[in-house]
Amino acid sequence: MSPLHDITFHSMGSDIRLIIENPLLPGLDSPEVAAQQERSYIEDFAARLSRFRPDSELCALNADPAREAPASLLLRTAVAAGVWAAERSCGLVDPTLLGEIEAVGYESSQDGHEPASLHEALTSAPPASPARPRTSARWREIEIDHERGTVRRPPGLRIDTGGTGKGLAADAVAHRLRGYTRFVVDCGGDIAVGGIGHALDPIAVEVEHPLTGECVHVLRLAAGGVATSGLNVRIWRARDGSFAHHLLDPSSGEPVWSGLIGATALAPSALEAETLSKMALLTGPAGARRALARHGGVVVHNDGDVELIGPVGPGGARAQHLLGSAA
Amino acid sequence: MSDRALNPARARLIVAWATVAIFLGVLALLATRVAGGQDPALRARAAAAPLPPRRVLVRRILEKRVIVHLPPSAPAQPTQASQQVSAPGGYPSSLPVTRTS
Repeated sequence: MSPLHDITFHSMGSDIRLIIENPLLPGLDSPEVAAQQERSYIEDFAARLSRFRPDSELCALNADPAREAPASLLLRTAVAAGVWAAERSCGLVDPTLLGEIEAVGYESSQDGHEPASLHEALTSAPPASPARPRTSARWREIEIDHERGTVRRPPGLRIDTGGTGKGLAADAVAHRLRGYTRFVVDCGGDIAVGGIGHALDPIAVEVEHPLTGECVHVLRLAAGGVATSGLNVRIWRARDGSFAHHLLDPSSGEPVWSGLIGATALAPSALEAETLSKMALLTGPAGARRALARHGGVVVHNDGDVELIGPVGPGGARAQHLLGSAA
Repeated sequence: MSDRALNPARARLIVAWATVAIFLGVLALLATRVAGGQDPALRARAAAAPLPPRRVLVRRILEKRVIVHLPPSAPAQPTQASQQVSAPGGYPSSLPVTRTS
């Protein structure tokens, strides 16, 4: 057993946790120093890509009326991640719904706000219906030019990188920590795991129930990512008294009520896990079974029932690149 | 010319012999035809069109679902304070949790 460093701090509107064990390669910083460096990296990441900070690079991009706007490598990567997620989800995880999310009431950060009751929201929710992609698919009009250091998009098309930001941040930090024997990067529940130590001895990750807060399942990860999307945190009452949340049906621009209130996905990266978890929640039980079949996942139905899908279920085939021995 | 009455016992014997003779004659005729490959039942079956082989599709559908019913309880409070820990052991004091954020 070697020593580890475990740090928790608040950023990106969530709790961030870094667990770093001793370096595998010589010349690397100690886990304590590495943790502080990665904390600074995440805080800088959040400040530059926040849509709630007028001085952020993302806000500058969205305010630029030109078709082609300069963008840093970080911003270009974040926009590219949003477009990648849209492609991966066939347009369901759409980074061009900024106007729609503001229209339903998510205009400012809800960090620290008490969420509305999900129980009450479900009693007045419309019949369950899966989300569908928007036919116009405006995310296809976004172009990232790394040679020119710019992003091109139709004037007025604003981009929201929030749907993939935590997964991308977790993957970025995991990449920076690849010389350490084992590490966990937990960006508000979107988690990247790696290191030779975890490959040999997978780490356990608990899945939290969105209604009760209890652990409903334990995943054992050797490498890769796991992420959870749910309706229980970013949920509020709209001006007309109805309930709204932040996961929108791209076809209507309205909050989706798909029959699921939570979805956890495993994937080779945290970005893909975040994309798959949103895709699962947006498409409801049947779509979730398809989205999570390959790498596995856990979904929670409106009535609180928990369903294990794919390799994480008892007796299911093991995805060895992601999972160790099942709990 | 005198009428000569037929002896009833003799008449019954004649009828019995005639019956046996007719039966044996028909039996010999049928045996001959069957031996010659002219069985009417077999000929009728052979004349019918051969039936196509039956296709039997076997599909195995396996669907595994695990439903866990949970008793309601108070929601967990998220961690608010920043903290850092250096531990001598190989595992963190609490497991990472994936949750909605």
